[in-house]
Amino acid sequence: MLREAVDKTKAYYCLDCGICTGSCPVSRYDPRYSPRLTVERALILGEKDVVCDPEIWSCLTCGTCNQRCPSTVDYTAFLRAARAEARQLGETGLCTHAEKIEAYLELQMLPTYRRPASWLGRGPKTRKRSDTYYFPGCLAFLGVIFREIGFEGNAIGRAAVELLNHLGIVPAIGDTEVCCGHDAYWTGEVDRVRDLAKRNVAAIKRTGAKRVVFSCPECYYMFRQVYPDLVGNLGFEPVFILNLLAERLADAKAGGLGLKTLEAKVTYQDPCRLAKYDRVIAEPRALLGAIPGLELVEMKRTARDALCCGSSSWVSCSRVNKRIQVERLTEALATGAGTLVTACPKCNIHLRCAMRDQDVGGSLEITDLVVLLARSMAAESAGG
Amino acid sequence: MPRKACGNGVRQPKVGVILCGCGPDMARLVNLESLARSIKADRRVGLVASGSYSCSKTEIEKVGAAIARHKLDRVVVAGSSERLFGRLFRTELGRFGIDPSLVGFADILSLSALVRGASEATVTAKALGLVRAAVARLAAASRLETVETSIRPVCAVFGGGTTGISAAVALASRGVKVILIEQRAELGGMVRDLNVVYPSYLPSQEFVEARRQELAAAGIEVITETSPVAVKGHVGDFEIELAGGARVSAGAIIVATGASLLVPEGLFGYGQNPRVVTQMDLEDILKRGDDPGRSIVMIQCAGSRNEGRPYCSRVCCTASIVNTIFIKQKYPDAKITVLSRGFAEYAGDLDKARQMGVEIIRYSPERPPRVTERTVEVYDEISEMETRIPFDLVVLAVAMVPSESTKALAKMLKMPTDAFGFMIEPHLKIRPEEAVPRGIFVAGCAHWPATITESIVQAYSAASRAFNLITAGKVTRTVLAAQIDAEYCRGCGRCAEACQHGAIDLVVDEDGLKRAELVPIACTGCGVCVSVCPSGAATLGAPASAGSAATTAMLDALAEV
Amino acid sequence: MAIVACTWHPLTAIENAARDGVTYRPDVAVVPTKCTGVVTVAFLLKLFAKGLEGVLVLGCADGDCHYYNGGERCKAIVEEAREILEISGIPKQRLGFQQVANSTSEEFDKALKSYLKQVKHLNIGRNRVASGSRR
Repeated sequence: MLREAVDKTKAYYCLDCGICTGSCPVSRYDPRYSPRLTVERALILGEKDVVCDPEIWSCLTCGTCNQRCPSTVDYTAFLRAARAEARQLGETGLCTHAEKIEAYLELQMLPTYRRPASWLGRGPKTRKRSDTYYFPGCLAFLGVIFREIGFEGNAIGRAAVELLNHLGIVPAIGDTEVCCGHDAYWTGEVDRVRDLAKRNVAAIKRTGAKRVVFSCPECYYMFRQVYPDLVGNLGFEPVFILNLLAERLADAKAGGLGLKTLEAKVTYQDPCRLAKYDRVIAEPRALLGAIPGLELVEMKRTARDALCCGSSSWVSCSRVNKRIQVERLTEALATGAGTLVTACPKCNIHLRCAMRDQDVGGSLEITDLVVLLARSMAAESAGG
Repeated sequence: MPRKACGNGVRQPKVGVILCGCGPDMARLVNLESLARSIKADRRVGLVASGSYSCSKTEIEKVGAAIARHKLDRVVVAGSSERLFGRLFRTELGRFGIDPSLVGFADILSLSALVRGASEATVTAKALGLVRAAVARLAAASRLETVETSIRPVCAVFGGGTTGISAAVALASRGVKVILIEQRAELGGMVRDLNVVYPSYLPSQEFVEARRQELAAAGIEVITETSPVAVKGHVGDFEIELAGGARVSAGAIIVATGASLLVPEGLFGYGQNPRVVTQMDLEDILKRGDDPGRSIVMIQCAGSRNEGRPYCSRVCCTASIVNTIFIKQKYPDAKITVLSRGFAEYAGDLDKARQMGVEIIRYSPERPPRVTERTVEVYDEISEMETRIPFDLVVLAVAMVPSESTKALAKMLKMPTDAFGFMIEPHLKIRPEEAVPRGIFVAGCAHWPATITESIVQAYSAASRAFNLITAGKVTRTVLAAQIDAEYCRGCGRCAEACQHGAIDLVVDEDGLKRAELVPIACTGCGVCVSVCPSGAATLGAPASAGSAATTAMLDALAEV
Repeated sequence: MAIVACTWHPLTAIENAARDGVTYRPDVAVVPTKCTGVVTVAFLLKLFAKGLEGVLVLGCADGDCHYYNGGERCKAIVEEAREILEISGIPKQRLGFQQVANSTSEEFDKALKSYLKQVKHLNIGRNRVASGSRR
């Protein structure tokens, strides 16, 4: 199986140059983990060596190595295949959060699973059937289990729907959709992801939507880049909300977005799934730039060189990850910004958690860009 | 890397199962043959030994031989409850080399067989579920380790009041080295602030002085004007850092840091009306020899026995009555009215006070007394009449609350407290049996409002237990302790906060990152750290992935019921 | 339906109930735990994911816990689990938490009846495995 992955990801082109390991945030703090060595061992020593190596669970799958490899080896895809095979042999990564995440996914597999619409609260307008469907992902669930660190999942979802309403869109939201399967995918559970994909596509089809809007980069990545391989033609177009908003912003005829003043000095964390697995880099910045009174100060490493938020798919939660997170937060604090703007619920959660647990020499507000935009839209205009 | 490599080379050990018929009871209700077959079908099970009375000598001998033949190192006893037969089986199987920590139990008698109204099929299926779950748990379990620690022959006493002094003197009289630490400059604690003590009516000065002399005579090291700022270590080896930098090492600690009195801001006009004072203020007035006035109204239970603070502080009624007698003796024409909600049994010389003309009026919490500038209006529950009493002084008997130092120490020592902040000491009723002594003993008002006599008795009790600990010289335990993997720990501190046994310290590494560290001797194996750990660093007995597998096995087994 | 009971008062109460002949629905699976304070949210959720329609957690009364505050921890754990059940379309009353004051069979009987009353309108069926996997 890994053999096929080696072929598909062109791992055999590896030059042993070490650029991947040199770029890897994990390798910096954990010398036992080396992307280069992992590939070389697969090529020279054989699959078993890699598949049984516990270190393959240390990878953040951030993709920094992928984009710098001179041979264009898709390292993270190769690693994912290794994890899938490891799973078959009964190995998994770290069991974090006392299996809460896993348990929720199991609940979603029940035929009686329903997510009540109450998470949205009153105010945002939705419909049973619409051209546009809003997919919030696991925001409601994450909002419950990470409430203790101040993460407000539902607020992000609500803000997203408010923004859509502001654009004149009344989206459909569902109650039988399930997790997009991103974390299951990246930890090698391909069968489960296929199940989830089928259920999601069916749930969306029932509403007649032709376009599905996402506020989570991981969900967006899954629907756009993975689902078609698993379940074929989706029948609808996945769209990321920031792209939709940026388009409207650029559309002079439509009159812009009507963003009002928000005085703040902020910095922005590029999510790996947007900046490295996709090219959504300029849009968030354009939107931040369009908020009057808002000053964006970039961190040292941005866009495709941005440092990952330090945890991935709930299997990375050790001292190494902590050090990466402290490093990133220190970088954010160095900009002098009071707020760190994220565009991914995971970045939000992981960085927030790191700030709570360790002493990073200061504190920052962590806010989602969607929430910031909604706030700016609702704010009183400067003129009163 | 701490996790084991792929399952290929590492096989889980097989588990033996003793299926006890518990005499004729079980066979009537459970299909034992079918059950035995189903159990055997589980690939984790190496042996099923069925018997009618598995607890009997002959049966155990047979099982023991079978265990040896099959080279098993762990056994599930499926029969009656662990509570009743745990010790027996652990001891007996121990003779055949089975580690007591690797003996599991499935109480199929109470939990399935004896459940009325169930069909044989249901009962058998349920029993199977229970056994499978126990097998799954045991298959992944690991052996206990023996941890030992020696006890430093020094006892630190925090608090130089009556309680602390009594405990120190008691220990010193038995030849134990004691170090007494007191935060004030003077010893004596709360008693110092009293006028006279009860029942001797001795001036508190004399009482305290007598205690101080006992202390001096015993040659105890006393450190005043300081208090602990950090306590590290565990039973037998505590490292106490005092404010100012001094360090004290001790094997046991007695906490006697007492209580404070509630400051009743706003209650009955306290803080606004200069004529409204507390009983302690009154003690001070009387000690100084000042005139308290000729018309005094005492209000009992101020700030006590209400929804926020439902407990009775037990000593205030006595203190109040002692004061009424003292005042009446000095000023026979003084008019004293005590507004009470019913006296605690510790009302001291209540009859004497009545005979001296002290009036008692009963009020209820629904109709509390109203205090104006110079009068108190109260509804007398007994005579069912509104009464107005002019006063020179209103004295409030206020609640006793844990002192600031008690509260700070509870945090520092990670000692559990009750809902009001009083320190709870592990004792027979609620101490997990497998735990060693915590090494920290609490006595006096730090524990619960107590009279002087009670405090002294508690002090002797704490001293006695500290003495037993110190003379034992060492403690050993072989209970399953948790493990915190330093690599995976992210230093969030949730485990340290959740642990009620002081078994987890949060330390800072050279690279500046926080990390949780287990103190094995203090761990009771309760597993709360494992349940709150977000990164899976804390485990109990088996790696996390195995825990997951055991949970699944248990749930699968149960779902078949 | 399952009962998660700690091995101190609650489990002893269940054992005594068996001996005293207290009747209760025979398909109730009993899961012993050292302390209800260490039961995880995930464990409770998985019981429902496996197809159980009712779970009752039995703990000791406040102040009685052998690990000091297990019962109080459990209340918070149960609250979080209930919230997750609600957003998964499972009425939160299906997860119950009762405290027993001692080890008598009466206490167990009382606790179980109290829970069953709260879920009377929800029809807790006999245990069966969730769709797909076994049998």
